[in-house]
Amino acid sequence: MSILKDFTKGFIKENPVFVLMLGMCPTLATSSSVKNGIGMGLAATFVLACSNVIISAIRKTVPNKIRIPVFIVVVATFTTIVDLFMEAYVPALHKELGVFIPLIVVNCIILARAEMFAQKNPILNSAADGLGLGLGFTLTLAFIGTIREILGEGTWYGMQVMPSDYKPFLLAILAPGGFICLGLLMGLMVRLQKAAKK
Amino acid sequence: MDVVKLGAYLFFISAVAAAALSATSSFTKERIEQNRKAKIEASFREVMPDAAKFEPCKLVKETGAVDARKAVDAAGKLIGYVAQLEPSGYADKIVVVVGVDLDKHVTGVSIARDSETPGLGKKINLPSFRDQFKSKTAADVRLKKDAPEGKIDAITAATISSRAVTDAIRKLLDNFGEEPGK
Repeated sequence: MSILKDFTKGFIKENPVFVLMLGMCPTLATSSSVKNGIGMGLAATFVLACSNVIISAIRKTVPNKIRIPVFIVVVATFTTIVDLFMEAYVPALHKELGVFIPLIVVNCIILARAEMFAQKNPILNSAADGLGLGLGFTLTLAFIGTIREILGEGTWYGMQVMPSDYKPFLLAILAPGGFICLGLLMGLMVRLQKAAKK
Repeated sequence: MDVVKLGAYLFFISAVAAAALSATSSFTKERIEQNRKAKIEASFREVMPDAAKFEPCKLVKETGAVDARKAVDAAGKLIGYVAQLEPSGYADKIVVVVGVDLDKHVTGVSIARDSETPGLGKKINLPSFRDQFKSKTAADVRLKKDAPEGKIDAITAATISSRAVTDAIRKLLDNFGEEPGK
């Protein structure tokens, strides 16, 4: 039962972006369209789940003093693997996401989960935690991407959804639009959680 | 003795990581190479849309061209050349593909690969920058800020990337010529 819980908490209760406030930089940078958001989210999910599993597996042998360098080596290895596979099989998306793929290494969601969860919990729970938080991150990026892409380009996943005479609100896909959109959604999230507690 | 133990542990972890990476790299290498080649072939067609096919050729070393093709139209007539240049940008090489007609006018510029900063240097990919080169000759291909006769606007806050592309294209046009004896 707890494994299921570790999986589902990443979507709302411990949503990495809205609740844990982690990974803001890739969130702002790659949520300008739905496709980029999903691509980035899935790449980060893979790295997060794999590194959680490995870190959980070696958690009893890692000397405490050097745990951070060990974690970073593990995370960097999986990030490079994702980078190479994406360049080989989805070159267009790889070109679009560019520098943000290698930057998954320093995505604080991943190191935070290694520190807070994977090094203290069994392998299966850590896998569930990584997958759950990663997919939560992916859905969040897709959601923000939906808002920004519809407002800023009038499309959703590249398909025209607004009337053809809609004049795109360019600010939405630029950096300031990302900040504004993220801030409003965070506020809404806090509000909803407060309402749910009452 | 602690240092030795910790060092040995890190060494072991890094060795496993290195093995995993070299396995991945050898698995994906061929595919990545193919993708890059396909991208450059597509860029050749983009910068020389009138060409029916491309034939291998070699340009003189001074042009800086890494690779080049003769562009031939449907009737088999030579209409120009396409060249692949690799100037150093702000980060890593920028792979630039340029089409040149027989009068040494640029027919088009395409960026096949780059690692420039998103939002700044990455803008060399935008048509608003690349299209400035169309039908220009060597004398025009200079940044306006570098020389009064220049006709190319640099990208704001990305002078290094803009200059790398511009200077590489000028070098190609200035020294343009086919390697003799082929």
